[in-house]
Amino acid sequence: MSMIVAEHLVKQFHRRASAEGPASRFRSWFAAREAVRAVDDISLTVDKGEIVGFLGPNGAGKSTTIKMLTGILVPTAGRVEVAGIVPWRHRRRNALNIGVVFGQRSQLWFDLPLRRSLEAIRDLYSVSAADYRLRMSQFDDLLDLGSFLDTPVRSLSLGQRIRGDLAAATLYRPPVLYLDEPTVGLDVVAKVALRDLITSLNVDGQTTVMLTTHDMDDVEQLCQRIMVIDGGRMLYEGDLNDLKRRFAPYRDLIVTPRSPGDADRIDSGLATRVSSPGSAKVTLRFDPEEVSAPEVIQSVSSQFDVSDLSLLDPQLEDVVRRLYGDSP
Amino acid sequence: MRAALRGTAAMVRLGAQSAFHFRVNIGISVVGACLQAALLVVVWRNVYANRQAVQGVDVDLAVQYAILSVAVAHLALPFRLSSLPERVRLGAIATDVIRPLGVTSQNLAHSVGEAAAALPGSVAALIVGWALGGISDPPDLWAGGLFVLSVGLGLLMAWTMNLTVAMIAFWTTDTRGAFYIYRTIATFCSGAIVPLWFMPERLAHILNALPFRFQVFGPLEIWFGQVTSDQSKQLLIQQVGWLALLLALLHLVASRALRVVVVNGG
Repeated sequence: MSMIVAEHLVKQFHRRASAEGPASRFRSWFAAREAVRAVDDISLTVDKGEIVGFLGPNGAGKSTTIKMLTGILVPTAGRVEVAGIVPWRHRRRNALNIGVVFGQRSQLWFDLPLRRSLEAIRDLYSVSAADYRLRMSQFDDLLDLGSFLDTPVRSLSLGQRIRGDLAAATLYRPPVLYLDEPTVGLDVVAKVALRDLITSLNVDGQTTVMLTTHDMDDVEQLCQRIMVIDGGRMLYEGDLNDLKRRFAPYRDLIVTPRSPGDADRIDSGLATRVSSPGSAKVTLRFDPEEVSAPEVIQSVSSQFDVSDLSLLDPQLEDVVRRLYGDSP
Repeated sequence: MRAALRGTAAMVRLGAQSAFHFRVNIGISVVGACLQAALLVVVWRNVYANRQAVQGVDVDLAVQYAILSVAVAHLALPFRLSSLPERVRLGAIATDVIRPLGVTSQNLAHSVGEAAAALPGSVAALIVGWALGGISDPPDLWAGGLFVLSVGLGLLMAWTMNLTVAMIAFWTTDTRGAFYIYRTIATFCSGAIVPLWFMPERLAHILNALPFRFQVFGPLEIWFGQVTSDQSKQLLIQQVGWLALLLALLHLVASRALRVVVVNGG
């Protein structure tokens, strides 16, 4: 069952063109407005209970797309439906179905203790007193919320603030959760806590999650499927492993010879040597579609005395970088 | 309906909590209201130094009007007319738009809550005024009741107008100029500084046709018994009519604004 459906989504902004030359500042007041397309014909579908990574370089149109899916922005063209509702047309009904965490901005009331914001969210979304107590206790277990519940939001650390925002976005258990760069600037402990909560919401409550991030660890650990956009257009949509196969069709065998003198001589004949000469470890890159890992290992170990071998899959970060690099 | 009421109450509570969080601000508002009340009493007494009455208004009435108008205007036109422009400028409006209570309802409820923080200033102005010249009672209990109702409607009108003007933030980043002009017009036209009794006839006609007079001057006319019981009721009906019109205008502006919303800051 599709939870999020977008078809041929377009968002165009208008800004005044900048003038150049003498009195440019004055002339720019009267310059014609030019259209800028932030999102250009994006179509996507997310099923109920899926966790989808929505990736792209800065300025790719990720946040604009999320804002259209949440109903904040009205699309210039195209169709959006989330849980059967057109978000921008029925914002209040849509609000009950979605939770949103923006890493760059907070939905909490800045000057008040975190507790006051959560109480307001409880009342805005008609959460019962019993459910509120239960979820606050869960948040305390998963996010250690109790230790900073009475601290004004403006005095919270970034990690605490994001945890507070995540609690606010999930307090009423929305079926759809949008996370727009939620782990930006977080330390490892906070990232793990956040990922644990997302996983638990997804597994226990079948929550559909759309995650925008630059952190590839988030993607590898959470997402079943990814979408990559750039220049407002969809570059890739599909399985993570398939992406790796298409854009980094290789595996690396790291070989440490027992005798350092062998390092510069190691070559299996089946793989390409990619490490620089003089290094103690040798990296051999091969295409798993053409040659299997055991064959490469057999070839190397039959010729040289090896103290250690390890196999590495391509890093998602490299894959995505390559994908961004290929985009027009 | 019940959910909307619960959400509205939450926003009123948040507005009050946010406003009361800044205790120094409340202190300054108290001092400001007291100063304004005291200065107006001094000025009006001086104006009446060699006169029995001006336009049929005697010194006691002018002084009492000044005190009560400060108390009411302090609630109707608070220091910060609305938090909306700041939220639009910082991009926080994005989170307002995706709540199950409309942006206008959220902000109106927040304004009502914030007004609670202006109450100490209004009460202090009344105490200062009472100490300096005394405040007479309304003609009867009925007039007193109508006055309270009329002040309530006037405040709702004022907060609705404040929010409508604040919606300019969706089209222009800096709203200070618009707010300055609006505050000047609203303060003058509502009779918050000079009672409308003293306006030249032509200007009075114009002011009578505008909604501002129902925010301060209208309720005070009831308090001072300047209108009959029937006229008081008529005034209340006019306030309700204006309020409905202003709310419709606010919703119209808001619906346009929310179509052009841009979230600053990425």
